[in-house]
Amino acid sequence: MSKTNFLLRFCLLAFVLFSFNAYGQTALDLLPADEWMPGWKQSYDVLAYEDDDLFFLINGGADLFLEYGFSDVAAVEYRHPSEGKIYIEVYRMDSDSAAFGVFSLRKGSLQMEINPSPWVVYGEDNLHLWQGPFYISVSTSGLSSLGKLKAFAMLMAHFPKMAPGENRVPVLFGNHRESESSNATYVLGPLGLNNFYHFGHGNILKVTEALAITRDDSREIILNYPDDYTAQKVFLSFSEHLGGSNRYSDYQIEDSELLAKDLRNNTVIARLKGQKILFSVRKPE
Amino acid sequence: MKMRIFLLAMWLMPMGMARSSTPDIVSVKGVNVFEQTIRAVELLGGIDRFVKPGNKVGILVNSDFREKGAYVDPEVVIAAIKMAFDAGAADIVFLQPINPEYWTRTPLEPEYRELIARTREIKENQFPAVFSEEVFVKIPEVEGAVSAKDLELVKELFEVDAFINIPIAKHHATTILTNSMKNLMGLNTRASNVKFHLDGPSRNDPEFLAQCIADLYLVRRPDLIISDVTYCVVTNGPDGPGEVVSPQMVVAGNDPVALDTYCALQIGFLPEDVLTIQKAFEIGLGEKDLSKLNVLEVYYE
Repeated sequence: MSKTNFLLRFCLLAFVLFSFNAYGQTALDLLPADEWMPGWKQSYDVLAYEDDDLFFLINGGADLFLEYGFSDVAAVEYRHPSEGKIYIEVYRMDSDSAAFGVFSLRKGSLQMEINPSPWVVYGEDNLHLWQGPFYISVSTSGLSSLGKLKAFAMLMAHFPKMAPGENRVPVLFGNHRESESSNATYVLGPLGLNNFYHFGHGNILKVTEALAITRDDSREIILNYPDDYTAQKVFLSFSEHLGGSNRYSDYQIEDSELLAKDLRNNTVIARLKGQKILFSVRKPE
Repeated sequence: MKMRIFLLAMWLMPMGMARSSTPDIVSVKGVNVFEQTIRAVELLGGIDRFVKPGNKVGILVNSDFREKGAYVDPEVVIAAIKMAFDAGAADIVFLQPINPEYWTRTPLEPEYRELIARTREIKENQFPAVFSEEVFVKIPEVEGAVSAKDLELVKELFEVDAFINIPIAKHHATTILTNSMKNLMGLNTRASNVKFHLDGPSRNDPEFLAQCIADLYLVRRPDLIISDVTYCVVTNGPDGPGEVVSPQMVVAGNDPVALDTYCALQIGFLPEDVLTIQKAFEIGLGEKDLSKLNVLEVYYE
């Protein structure tokens, strides 16, 4: 074999291996094997589902995963004879953005720790991780504080090893990364938006991508459109809807800004800014 | 302790209209969920109206969530089973099983442990429930239904004399509100529920889902609904965590359209946004105009 031929074959093999790492892994591949910590074993066969069959794993909320773009999931419980139980769900989403979206949604108000990879948040008994196209949810039962810390540290090292690579944050989120990253949820689609504010049935705002930032006294929702023209068209159509809707009162419009009160007496302000519509929903004082 | 009730004079019936002696909806506000539940049923005519001596009683509870505000306060359920046993119920069966840990979420658990132990549950209707002929029954067509068909429902639903539905009013991303109507999806196998989500004109079609939920109510209408509206998740539902509101109400009735309309308003949702209310009204399951109903609101101290 000539040197050139060898180099070509080597490059091809490296490309195949790289592609396998980046795209070929399923959720099942990422689950830790028995004895990932001494004495910890799976207590039943792994549950694995693809596409719409996710409804057989999640009781309430599967529709949201599907809207974000879901591929497959693997879930299992690990038990230790004396230390407790750890339940792990690994979701493979269609993209890094989709995985980040469900991560930001499911973590609730927990503060996240931003690393090159993975991104993690801890609760009292649970851990959420985002690593590339994977969202991982871990919950524990019966573990001591030290036991939990040890398990969480092991898992935080395990998943990047299994799915290496740096996380790619959605551009819309990236703009807010420094200031309010822990309060921001990345939304893909109208159901996700419904989780923060319901503007009415029928996807009136034609939402595909948004960022929802929750603060003590207000919520900011940033809707992103492909271009200025689309944003303007949606804004005009929404202002017509707002004027004729019984969900709002004290409706005012000025240039590219709308103001109204909703049913809970929140002040709703909408502003058109380039290819974005910026909503602010402020609680009554 | 002597119970005191402050009537807020909230009979929401228009003046001049004949008022029935029994309210259509009773809402009891307060901070003692157990006593509020007892009082709500008493003001609705008493548990004897719904449960007779020797009856077999089926209860369906929305208990299968971890986040406070996403599950029914266990004190509502304990009050319901106490009332049913006091009324002479011979057998109480939970149509969907309840995790033993659920009961420990209230300090009342030790006091009522023996009472809880007298109930049964259909263990096989645990999520994700799978059809078996011993536990479930197939219902190919439902009379009057628009969309729901080929249902697989818990068999004992059709063997109970009284059926008590105990939901919590909270947010759901697709249906906006989940309360008395959506809770009945807990009677279905998972395969039936998945059809509700996926068999419409498009995947997870909100109109189709709402119609199926309304249709499900035609199969076996609950005799009594007791809704927990004390502390409720209003964003990021149905499992939360999310924003919560605290109306501190226990609401009882047996008209699901009226009850869901009333509860939606208490947690800040517009009934027009809740498609299950609209679909159920259209097929004659109840009244959505609260001004036509006798709504009694009281405060329990």
